[in-house]
Amino acid sequence: MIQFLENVRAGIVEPHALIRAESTKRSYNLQLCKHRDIESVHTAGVNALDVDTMEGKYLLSGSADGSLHIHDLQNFTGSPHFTSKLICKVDRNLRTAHRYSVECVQWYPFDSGLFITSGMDKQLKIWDTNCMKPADTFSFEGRVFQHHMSRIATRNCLVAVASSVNHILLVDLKSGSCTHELRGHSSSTLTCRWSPREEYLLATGSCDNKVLLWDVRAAKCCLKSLDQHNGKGRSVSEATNTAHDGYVNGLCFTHDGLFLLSYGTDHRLRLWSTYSGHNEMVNYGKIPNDTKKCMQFDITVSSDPKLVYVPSEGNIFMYEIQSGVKVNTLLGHYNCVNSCIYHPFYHELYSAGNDRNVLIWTADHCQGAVYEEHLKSQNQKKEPFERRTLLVRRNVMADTWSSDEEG
Amino acid sequence: MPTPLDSNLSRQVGKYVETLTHTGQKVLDKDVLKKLKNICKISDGYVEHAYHLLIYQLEKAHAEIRFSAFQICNELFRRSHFFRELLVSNMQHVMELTCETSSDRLLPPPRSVALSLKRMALQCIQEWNKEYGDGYKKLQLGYNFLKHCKKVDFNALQIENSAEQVRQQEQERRQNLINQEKLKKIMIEINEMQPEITNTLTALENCICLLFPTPEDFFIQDGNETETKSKISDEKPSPSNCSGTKQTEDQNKNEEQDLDQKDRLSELIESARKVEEKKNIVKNDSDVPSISRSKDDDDMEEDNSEFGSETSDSEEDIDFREYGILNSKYSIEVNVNTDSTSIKETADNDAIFENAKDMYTLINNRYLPTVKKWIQVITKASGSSDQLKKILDLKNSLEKATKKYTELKCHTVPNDANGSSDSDFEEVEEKDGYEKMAQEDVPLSGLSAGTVFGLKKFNTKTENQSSWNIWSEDNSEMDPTSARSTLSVLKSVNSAMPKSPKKENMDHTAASCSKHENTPTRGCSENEKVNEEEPVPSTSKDNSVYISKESQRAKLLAAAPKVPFDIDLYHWEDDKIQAPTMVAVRAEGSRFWYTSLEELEEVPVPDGIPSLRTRVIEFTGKFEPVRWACRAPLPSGKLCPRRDRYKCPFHGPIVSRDETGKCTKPDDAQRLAKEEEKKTKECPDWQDPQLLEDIKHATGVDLRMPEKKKRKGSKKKKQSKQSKCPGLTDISAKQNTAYTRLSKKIFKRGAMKRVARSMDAADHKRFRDKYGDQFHYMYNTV
Repeated sequence: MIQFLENVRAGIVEPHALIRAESTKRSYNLQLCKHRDIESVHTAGVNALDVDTMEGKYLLSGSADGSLHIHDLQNFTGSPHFTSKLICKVDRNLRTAHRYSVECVQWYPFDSGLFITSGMDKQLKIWDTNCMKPADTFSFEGRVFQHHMSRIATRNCLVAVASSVNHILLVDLKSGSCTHELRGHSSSTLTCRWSPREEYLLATGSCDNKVLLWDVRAAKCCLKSLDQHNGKGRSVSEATNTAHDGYVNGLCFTHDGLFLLSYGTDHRLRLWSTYSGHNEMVNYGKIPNDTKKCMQFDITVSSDPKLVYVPSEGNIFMYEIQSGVKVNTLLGHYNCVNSCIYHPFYHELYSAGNDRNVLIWTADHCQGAVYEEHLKSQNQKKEPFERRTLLVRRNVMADTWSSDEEG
Repeated sequence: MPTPLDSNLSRQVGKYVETLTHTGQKVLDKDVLKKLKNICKISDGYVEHAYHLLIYQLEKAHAEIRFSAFQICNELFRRSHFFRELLVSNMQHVMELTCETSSDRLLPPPRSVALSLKRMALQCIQEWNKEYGDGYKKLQLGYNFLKHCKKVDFNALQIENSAEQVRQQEQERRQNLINQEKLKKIMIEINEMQPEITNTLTALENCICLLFPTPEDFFIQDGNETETKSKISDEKPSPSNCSGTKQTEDQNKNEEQDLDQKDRLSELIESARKVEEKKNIVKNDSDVPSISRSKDDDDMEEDNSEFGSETSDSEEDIDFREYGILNSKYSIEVNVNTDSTSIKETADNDAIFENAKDMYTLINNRYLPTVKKWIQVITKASGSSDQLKKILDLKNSLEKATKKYTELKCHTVPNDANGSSDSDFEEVEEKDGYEKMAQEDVPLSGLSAGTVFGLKKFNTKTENQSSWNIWSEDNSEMDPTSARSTLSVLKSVNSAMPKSPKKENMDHTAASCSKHENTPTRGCSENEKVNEEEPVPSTSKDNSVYISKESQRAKLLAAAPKVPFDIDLYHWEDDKIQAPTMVAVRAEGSRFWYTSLEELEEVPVPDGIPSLRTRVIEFTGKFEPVRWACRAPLPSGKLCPRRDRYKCPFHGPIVSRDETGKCTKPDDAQRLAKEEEKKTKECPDWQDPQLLEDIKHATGVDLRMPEKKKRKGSKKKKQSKQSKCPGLTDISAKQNTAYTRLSKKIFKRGAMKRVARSMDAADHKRFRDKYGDQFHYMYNTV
């Protein structure tokens, strides 16, 4: 890394290359973070996570009991050992809180003063972060599984809502009303995602095994229905081809918006080209996935072979997107993982599951050494008592084979 | 891993893990474990190998294997960092396999071991977390997960399903509510019923008091009299005694005193003649403890009898009557006879009895059960303690009252018996003095009647001054006036007589147990002698005449079996019994529907007469359980567990065998061996090997029966499989329960099909019966 920095300074390599190399290295080496924690305050399984896109400072989480929590991720203590504190929360007993499980949370992409949550109480709430009160509430006919707001849309403020009713609703925050109904699915919709490239491009997945692409300017019918067999399957018509052989419960665009990943209860992950709408036919193998609700998974931002982190039951699998090679399995949760979110600045992963934990996954390999050094420097300042704790810490990690005679 | 693993060592690791996990023991074998650790110490490669092997063992569906495997894991976990990392990275899986964290993956059988595995695993995880928690993040997470999400109480070490917990709490709460509701209801009930119960209690108590005064009442009332009486008794023992008691008795009508006079000595007849007054064994009621005490000696314990006997011998010829007192050495024994004390039921206290009985039934049938129920409910609902105490007190008083009543009841004598004896007594007065005495005694001893008669009798005796000996009270059976004798006279005059001498003898011996004559025969002869000597009584002479005859008869009677009255006795002397008849049922059906009386023929019941002559005697022999098993060796290696008395249906007559099933007697063994040999040799003639050989030779068909080795073979196979890991509990064996066997039969495809077919047919038939004649359903019913 030092070498890289030197090269960048000398102008031998582009700064981009440094970023790419470093983020690739980090995203490949994720493991459970030993030094940093998210303060455990959840009283039920955590269903949804989001990190604000402006500063990357706040982590928003929604629980199955309807409560919302916001943690501060930034560490200004000077010590690698850090626990992210809870800064505010919406208790489930509050009148304004969601009555049932919160299924999806999202920060307003351009300001952390606003966030949107939705849940099983068939409501979508727009919250004012500063006073922690809902600024507006939309009620729907069906339970809301996911909503999404475009990160690049500058001219409109549309929130797409996927609910147990079989059409996608578009809510305009400016007018405070539901502007569109996208009809095309024949069963309840589980997931919806705006393209990070095209302002009006929306992808939706549903229980009818289909993934539809929409141009919301022409809401009369969908742009394309993705076909897993690329037209070579048995069904020829657009109306009957499917993206998965099970419910589609997760969608994610790559950061550049060129590819779309879909995740289904047929235990498959599929890669689609958004340009052509073709299945890229990447085989990721079988990924156990049985939940009948939205699974939130994420893709690395600037690494070169892009990686996807897919929650599957209690584990998180890491795949290279283009090749489908499984890089690693992140083991840490003791129950089903519901949500993974990749921090775009820190190159870290946050994951939440039904075991009420929010875990931080980082590339700790260099931080470990830093931490040791830090502790050492601390020890020199402090009393020998501290040193003993260090010794104990080391002992914990050491082998303790008994000597030969004892066996 | 830097260096490739030595395959030999790896194999050894596998072997050790296998042996350690398949012992089924709770404690690991130290030596093998040491060897395993030694290998793992060499490099992390072996640790990893061992880890994979252990996980493989942990996944096996046998709690004992998992238990041992987890123990090894614990050992390695505490040694190797690498093992810790591996295990912690897979922690959720390990927890699932050992702590039953997911409800749909329960621990395998046997259940008891599974529970102890769970307990041990939780304990280990707790210890690990304590020791290594800050080095291994995921371990901490796991611990917290167990603690917070799975609600493991690490002090109690139990995983409680939270839903289950909630359910239990809810149920408890509901139960509590119900209990409280019940408690309220019962409180109202108690308040309503308590006065009623207390009223009943006091009423019953009063009844009992009226019938049977307490000693306090008694003494308060008769304080003066008892004193005077005791004074009198100093001078004139027997009459005053009687009069005193009589007085008290007269005043307390129901107070009963049973004065028995018993002879102690063999010379009691002579002494009776001389002194005319012997020792009185006064049977007194418990409530009148010291009416008649001994004159001089205050000790009238049981040993007095011997003492008295000695003294009486020496002082026979002194006439104490002249001084108005008996010999100072004499003692009077007071037997406080609580058994025979009784209250007679008369017309006067009849109402009280009735009343008491009603109360008793009321208390017993109604109040006691309800009070018990109250107590139960109050204890369940954890009601206030003073309330409970109150109820308990109430229950105790109720029980006391019922007990008192039952005691009273057993003292009570039914009315009519007394009445009859009363009348007897009246009649007796006119008769000869001696006989009269005897008569009077009858009800006293036999029926334990009221003291009244005993006292009166005593009075009369003293008045008459007749030389009546006390033991003559035992002659009761001979007296024609006694209830018993009259009863016996009803049958035959002779039959009543024999009993008496025998009884007399018995009593005599009983009384003179401490004296020189002990044998009944001697007693008899003495009696005779005495009777002959005696001038006055004539009946006693008759007695003696009977005695020789009767004693023999008595012996015979004693030996004769007693048979309850039955139909055969009813027809005993009836030589010509009419056979019972019955009305013949005719072809038309009804036995009432007949045209004329002539048609009503009565037909004698077949076997009618014999049925009246026979007596059915049920076998009353004692059942003795068979204490031995057959114990013939079975092909399975076990011993035959059948317990037959004489003969096992499989192994023939029971032969004594030792623990291993071998015959203890050599000749038995020989015999059995012979039989066995015979059996093996024996085969049906169509199975004659020679013949079969010929047939095979001629036709090429082997007609030999296949040997019945199949079952044995399968057994052996099973055994060999089991013997591979003999320490483990056989789980599959448990599957072979009655339920599975039955379900195998019931849910067999064929059986199901058959049942379905027949049910379909039944349905079809019903349908056809109902709608078959309707046009609409014409085509359906075919």
